[in-house]
Amino acid sequence: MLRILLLKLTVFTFLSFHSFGQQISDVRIDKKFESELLTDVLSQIEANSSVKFFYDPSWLENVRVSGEYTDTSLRSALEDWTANTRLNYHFYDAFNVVLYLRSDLLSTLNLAGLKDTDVIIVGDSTNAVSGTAVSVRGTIRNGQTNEPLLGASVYVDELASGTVTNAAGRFSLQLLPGDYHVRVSHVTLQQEAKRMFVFGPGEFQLDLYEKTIQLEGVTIAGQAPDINVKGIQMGTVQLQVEDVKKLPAFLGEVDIIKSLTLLPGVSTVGEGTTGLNVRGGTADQNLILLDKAPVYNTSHLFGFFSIFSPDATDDVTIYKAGIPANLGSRASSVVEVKQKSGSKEKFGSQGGIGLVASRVMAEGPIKEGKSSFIVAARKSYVNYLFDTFIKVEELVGNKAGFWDLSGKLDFSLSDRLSLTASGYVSKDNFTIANESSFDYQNGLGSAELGYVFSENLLGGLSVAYSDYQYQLGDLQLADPYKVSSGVGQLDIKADVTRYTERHALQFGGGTTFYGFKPGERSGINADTQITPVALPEQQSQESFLYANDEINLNDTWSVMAGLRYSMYRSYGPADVFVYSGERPGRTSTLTDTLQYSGNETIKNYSGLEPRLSFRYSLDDETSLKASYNRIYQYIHLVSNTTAITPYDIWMGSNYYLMPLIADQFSIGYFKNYEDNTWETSAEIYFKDIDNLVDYKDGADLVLNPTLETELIQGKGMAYGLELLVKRSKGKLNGWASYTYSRTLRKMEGADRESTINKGNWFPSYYDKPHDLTLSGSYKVTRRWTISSNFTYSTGRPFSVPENGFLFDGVLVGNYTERNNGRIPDYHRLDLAFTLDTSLKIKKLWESSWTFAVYNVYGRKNAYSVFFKDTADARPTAYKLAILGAAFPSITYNFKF
Amino acid sequence: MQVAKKLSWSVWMLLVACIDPYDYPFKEQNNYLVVEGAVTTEPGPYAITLTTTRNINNEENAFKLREQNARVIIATSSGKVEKLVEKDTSGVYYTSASFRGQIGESYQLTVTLENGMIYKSEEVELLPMPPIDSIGIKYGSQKYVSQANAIVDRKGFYITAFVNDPPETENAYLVNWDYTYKIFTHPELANYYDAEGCECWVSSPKECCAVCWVQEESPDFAVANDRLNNGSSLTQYDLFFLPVVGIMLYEKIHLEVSISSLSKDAYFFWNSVYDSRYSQGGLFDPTPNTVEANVYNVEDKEELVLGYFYASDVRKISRSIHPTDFPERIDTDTGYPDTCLLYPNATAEEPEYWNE
Repeated sequence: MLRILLLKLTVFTFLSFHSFGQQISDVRIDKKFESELLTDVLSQIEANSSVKFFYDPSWLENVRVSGEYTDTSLRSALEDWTANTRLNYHFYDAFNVVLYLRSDLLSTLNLAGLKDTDVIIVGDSTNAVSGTAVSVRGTIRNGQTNEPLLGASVYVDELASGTVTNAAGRFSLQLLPGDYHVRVSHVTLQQEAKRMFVFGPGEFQLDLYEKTIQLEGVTIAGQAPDINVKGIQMGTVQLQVEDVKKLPAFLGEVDIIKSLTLLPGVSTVGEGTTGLNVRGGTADQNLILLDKAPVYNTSHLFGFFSIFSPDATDDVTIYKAGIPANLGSRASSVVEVKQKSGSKEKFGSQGGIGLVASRVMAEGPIKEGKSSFIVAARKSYVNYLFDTFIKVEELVGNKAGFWDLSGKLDFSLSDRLSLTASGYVSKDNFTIANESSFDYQNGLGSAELGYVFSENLLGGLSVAYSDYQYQLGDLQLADPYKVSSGVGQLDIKADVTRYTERHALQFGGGTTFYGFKPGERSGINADTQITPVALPEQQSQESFLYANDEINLNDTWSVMAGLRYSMYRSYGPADVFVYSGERPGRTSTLTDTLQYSGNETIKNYSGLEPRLSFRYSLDDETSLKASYNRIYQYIHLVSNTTAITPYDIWMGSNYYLMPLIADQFSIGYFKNYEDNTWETSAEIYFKDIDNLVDYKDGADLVLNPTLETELIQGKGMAYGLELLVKRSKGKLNGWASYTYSRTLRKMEGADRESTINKGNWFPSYYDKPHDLTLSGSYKVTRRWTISSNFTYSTGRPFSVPENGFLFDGVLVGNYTERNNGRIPDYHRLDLAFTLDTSLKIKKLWESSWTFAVYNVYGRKNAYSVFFKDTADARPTAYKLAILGAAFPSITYNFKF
Repeated sequence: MQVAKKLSWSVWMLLVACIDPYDYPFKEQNNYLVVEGAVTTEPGPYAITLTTTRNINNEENAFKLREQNARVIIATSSGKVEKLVEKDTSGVYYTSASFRGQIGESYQLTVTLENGMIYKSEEVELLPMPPIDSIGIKYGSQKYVSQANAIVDRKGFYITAFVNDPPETENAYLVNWDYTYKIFTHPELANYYDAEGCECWVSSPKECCAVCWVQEESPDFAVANDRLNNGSSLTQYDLFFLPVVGIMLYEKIHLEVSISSLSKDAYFFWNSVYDSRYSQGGLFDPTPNTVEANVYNVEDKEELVLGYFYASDVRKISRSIHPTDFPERIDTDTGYPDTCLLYPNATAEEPEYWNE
């Protein structure tokens, strides 16, 4: 009988091509049936329209129809007529309806030419629900790694809408039972298009695989292609490492952190410096997380390379505004760097050989399908090159090098319970012979337990640890010594997320223990005369509770509302100095020492941090968004240099130092064109900061037991406009962004020493009003890609002496104002060519070559400008350029 | 090895960076009074110099540089008032030779400018300089950026001082030094070029002088404090690096180090002068700033005054550095075919301290 059906179907397909007239959607039933045979009813419909029904008559034996119908659609009527039967129906196209036995759908479809793999069946086809919307849930994973995919788009063509997966790779849709076309996509992976039959509530899992042939160029958008318009987040960008790898990089070393500076609102103070300035924030106002562990120093060799191995990293997400309540503790941004999980299916390896360093990564299953590992290592060979090839006398004894090692374990303990653990260690060494040395070490670890309580209730528990130690050696002395400082923290955090139709509610809490080592001096030589001196370590604890709800009110409005309550205490053992006068100052004298015993609270701070975001969709491709967030920051980087340097000291809020409080307001207009091919946005922000830490003129911060006398706290303000045009599809893609921003501060203390620039607003040292970035890539052929960056920014402020004077024969500059001048404007062009060596989809060994030139036209961009007395007694300004030439590089990458 | 060559070049650039003169468009603004002077325990007279700030780009320097015809007095805590006398309208005012600083006494400077404006300093106390136990030397080398921006290694000695400073007080010091060494030249080989006659070199041996003493007063200075050492009775301070070349070790180097006591505030000021002179404006250098003088306009305390007036107890100590202290083989002969008196700061007369 099925053969007949097939025959009919084939014939009909041909015929239907020629038939005109009423189709399924036009059929309206206006009739009262009294126990009529369904076969007769269907025949009547066939007679009065162009609709045809296909079935095996034996299935319809004795199936009768009763009831009164007025202007009823065929779909509704069929729902009724098949409700208490073994039958189900399927609208094959606009004219043809297939009736089938519920258990036989697949074979029926097979006959209709559809393969099992093209079809997703949700719910029990033998017990289909009809009429009411059911919940369709699922998990989207990366098929190579089995990792859940965040931000995969699940789009239902028939509804012209869809949803996006959460961090657990899960999504939920409300659909009427029926037949749909769904498209599941993720920015880095191959889109999957499926036919989905929904019979009732249920769920499915779908794996996406890497795009093998189709090379996309530079895309900065992570997540769904229209997330910038549809999502509630603003000021948030996800960069995929695969895309970052194609950007021109300094000496060919792919740098995840540096690539962020190509985004509007993110800048650095100069080349070769570590630290980001996000929307007018200082470098210590960014919480940079590797998995869950905060990273205190993100760079190797001062700031030339980032510490994250590109092979072991998935993506990086930066939140510049509208920061959800589960994140906090740093005032300006959160940067989440996600380490890759190893593949649970097969072993693999990749790596690269560059001019400065080489790297290798290996991954594979521990227990197939259940658990995996990944390890990645990187080592520089600058030293070896110094010794072997350079042989420049001046460089003998100089050393520069780094290594890092990272790993992650991923266990699926059960269907509901998953455990991941990741670790990272790195070491840097830089020595200028007989002069100075700078060493630092990062150690990070985190473990995360994920539990699925039910389909829409997820729980997470994480523990993270971070330790950053740095040593600065002064070798230019009879008795050389080093000063060691450090900071460490231990975080414990628990979150629960509940998804309902319109809500994504997340709540939780956590606590962090900080330990600060402000400085310790010890001799380097064995026969040293130096008595070790150590400033006492400081301890503090920061805790928080939060709730955050993302609410899709309707298609046009969505809201994210969150509240975070943070508490902080610094505790003993510690000695706190009490000074004469209101605030500790240089002239005030010590009047008392307060002694605190172990765990005794020295000072408490706390505050409520509201977070609020709105999205209003003007149409499918346009939206308006607004957000507000308040963040308390309890730890500070104390510095009197422009860049982050080994002299800087991390310290927590304490008896004198108050927490920094930042409020940010931002609004934005987002519009996409041509099916999300072009994205445009305009965002305006205003940020107000209280208790911004600055230093007094002439402050001596190194090993200073009375550091509070050298510091001042004042106000900060930043505002700006960020414009972005981006093309993320096609052979040519990339973006152009322009930012106008100002970042100012006001330090008005009780006395002259704690007042800067007469208490007026003055620019921060990273205030660069105009910033233009053009970044693009062009796929010349399937194998060749050219990419390029151009950046321009206003020179940063620096202090210019108003005049000078002679004292004891030394010309001393008279700096009456801080940051009253600007270094020359910065601009730079980079180019990179990437050659993929193989285009085969299935290949054992994939490799690529990247040829890059950094600073193509060799501009000597100023890092700093300073004044020196010269032999002819006239002071001269000098410009220090760090990378004042074009830097070519070549890198070989492989994967198998 | 193409790759490595590229890298070597890159790393070279990376480390050396490049420093170029930069024509900065200065905005010339005000000029301010600059006061410089000290009362010490060394024999007087002491000088107080009154100048004004100088503009940076203005070569003509349109502003007045010297404050002439001022009335300058120093009042002591023991009630004495010392009037200073200007020398040749130079803006430099001197105490009498008999006026001498006393440990424990405080001094206050009062300046009345020609225009009638009155400036007073804070009262500065003359703190005792603890005894210097000895001077230590250690052979080593130091990196130095030459005028051509090349990094040069200089050999020499790190000089340290052991000071018996009392643990109970915070001590700060200003360090100056000078040194004398004997050189050997060849006056018997002296010659000259006879441009008018034979147009050739003509031998003209001289009798004097093959041996001279070169007395160098170092323009450098150092500052030190015991913040990190306080608590021990004999403290070692790393003072400075003395670059040494072979000819200086013909016999020995006589080094004299003078250490002056500074108050906490005076140290703070001198430290800023030190930063002005020695900071390179590089990656790790603190951003520059101005330390105001401890002198103020009596009628307008907000007026910026620069420089410093301080009081110091000065102690001196000397030691010799011998060729045996220098571990490398060196040539101590200048090879110079003329009198040694042609060397800068050279004298043929043996200094009295030479054989102390």
